[in-house]
Amino acid sequence: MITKNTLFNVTTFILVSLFLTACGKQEESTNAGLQNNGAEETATLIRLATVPSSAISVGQARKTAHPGQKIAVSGQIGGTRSPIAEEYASFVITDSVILFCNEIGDEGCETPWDACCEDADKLAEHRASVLFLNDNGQPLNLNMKQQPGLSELDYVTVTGIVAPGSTPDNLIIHANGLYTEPTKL
Amino acid sequence: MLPISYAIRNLLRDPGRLLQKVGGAGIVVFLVFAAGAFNQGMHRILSASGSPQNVILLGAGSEESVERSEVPIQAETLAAAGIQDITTRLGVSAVSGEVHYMAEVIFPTGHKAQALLRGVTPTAFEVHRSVRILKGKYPKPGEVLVGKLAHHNLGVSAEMLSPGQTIKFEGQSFTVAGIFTAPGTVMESELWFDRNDLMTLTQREQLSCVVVRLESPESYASADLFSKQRLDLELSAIRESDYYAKLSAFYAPIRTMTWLTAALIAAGAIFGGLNMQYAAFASRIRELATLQAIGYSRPAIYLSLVEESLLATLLGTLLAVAMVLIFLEGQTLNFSMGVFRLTLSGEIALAGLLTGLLLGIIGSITPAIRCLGTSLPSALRS
Repeated sequence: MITKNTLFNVTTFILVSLFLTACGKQEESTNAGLQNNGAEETATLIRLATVPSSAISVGQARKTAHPGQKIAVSGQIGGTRSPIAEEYASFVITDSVILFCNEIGDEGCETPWDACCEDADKLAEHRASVLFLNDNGQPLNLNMKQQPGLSELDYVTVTGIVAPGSTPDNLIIHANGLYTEPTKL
Repeated sequence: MLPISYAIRNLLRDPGRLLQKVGGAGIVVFLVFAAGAFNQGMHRILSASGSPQNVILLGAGSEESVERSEVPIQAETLAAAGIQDITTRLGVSAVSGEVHYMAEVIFPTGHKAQALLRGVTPTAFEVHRSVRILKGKYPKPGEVLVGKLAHHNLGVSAEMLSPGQTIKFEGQSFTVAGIFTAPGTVMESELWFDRNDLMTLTQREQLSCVVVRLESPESYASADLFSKQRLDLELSAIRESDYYAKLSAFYAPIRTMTWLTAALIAAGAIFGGLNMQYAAFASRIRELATLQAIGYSRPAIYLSLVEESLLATLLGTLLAVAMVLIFLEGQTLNFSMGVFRLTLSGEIALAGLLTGLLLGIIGSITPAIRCLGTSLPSALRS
């Protein structure tokens, strides 16, 4: 004999099971993006085939960008002594107006990409931080020197959005696309 | 085989020459011990001073010198909020904003000395876990906490830096509140002030560095990412162990010089020893030929000559060990980063012993071959 109570319990069980299954599926689909891929696959996913036509310079972005804005920025990797992060997909991008030590003939400089010969204030106004996030909004674990093989002074263009905590003094781009010169990839 | 007593009797035949051999070998081995202890002591203190779990946030461009570095004061709280995996104890995050300063302090006697000063807050103890207060207490404003070996660095007696004593800095008197130890690190020769005191007196508005203690050395990437995300703070994240490794590399030429000096003196001693051995063995050519004539083989005589030489150099080694234990062991030496102790470790003792052995063997090979290489008839007639 099936009582009302039993029927209620069974119905509740089925509904809860369906709800949990649905949640699980959603979680799975969220993680199917950047997070669960190998370094090479991740590097391929963020790679752009062509230069975004809307790309602006770092200096221009510093003046006009506001948090949440979609943006494409071009520049050179550098501006600090170690501009590429070790374990996270992050680097510092610098405007082309900045002269690196090798460009002004200082061949003896061991770290020309830090632009130590450039005016410090000018350098500070022409840099931005680039960070690739995974689908959960966390910094993407990827050594970009290994994959896709970035190195200091590379010319790159990144697409993404201006980070919520970004300020005019500290531009942070949460990137999702990267274009580098074909010879670099 | 010739009996060992033959070698011993020969050694004692000319006490003056024996003294020369023993003394020469002793000085060379002593120098090897001293150079080894100096190198190891300096390297050890700089290696032990940096924890692989600690990251130093320095001003960009001042990665080589914390004294030159300038970090905005807000970097301390921003780092505490922005870096993942920071160690916490009783709810306190292990983040210590510090001021490092080298300046002159004056003692009541009028004695002046350059000291390494560090302005800290109580969280410094969360970051520098080897630091323990031996006597007294943490300093309040107007007080100073003194490293156990600071008096060596400042050239005063330990009593002059004991709790209750006073020192002057920038015209203001500071009372010694306590003494701390941080075994084997450069911190032991520093003076720790209340950070606000030091910032006020040195008219600084910025910190020298922010030291962060992470859950594991692998969490460094998080601190590195923070420094790259906060370009406005102009920071550079360096593992504390790497910072001190770089400092150690900076002192490498000095360490090389000590080895070079020891090697040059050893080379001089070897040539002098060779000369002496040539003369000593040459005067015994007829005696050695006689030994051959009565039936001892050349290898047996050669071995006896090497034994004789080894006995002298090993006696010298023993003398060097005694000199090291009396004059060097436990002595402290100052260098710009602090104070380190000279100790005779196992490796150094082995290096000294090997030097003694090599001196004995190298010093006797060629003179012995030369003496035994002469034909028996001509040797008997010489």
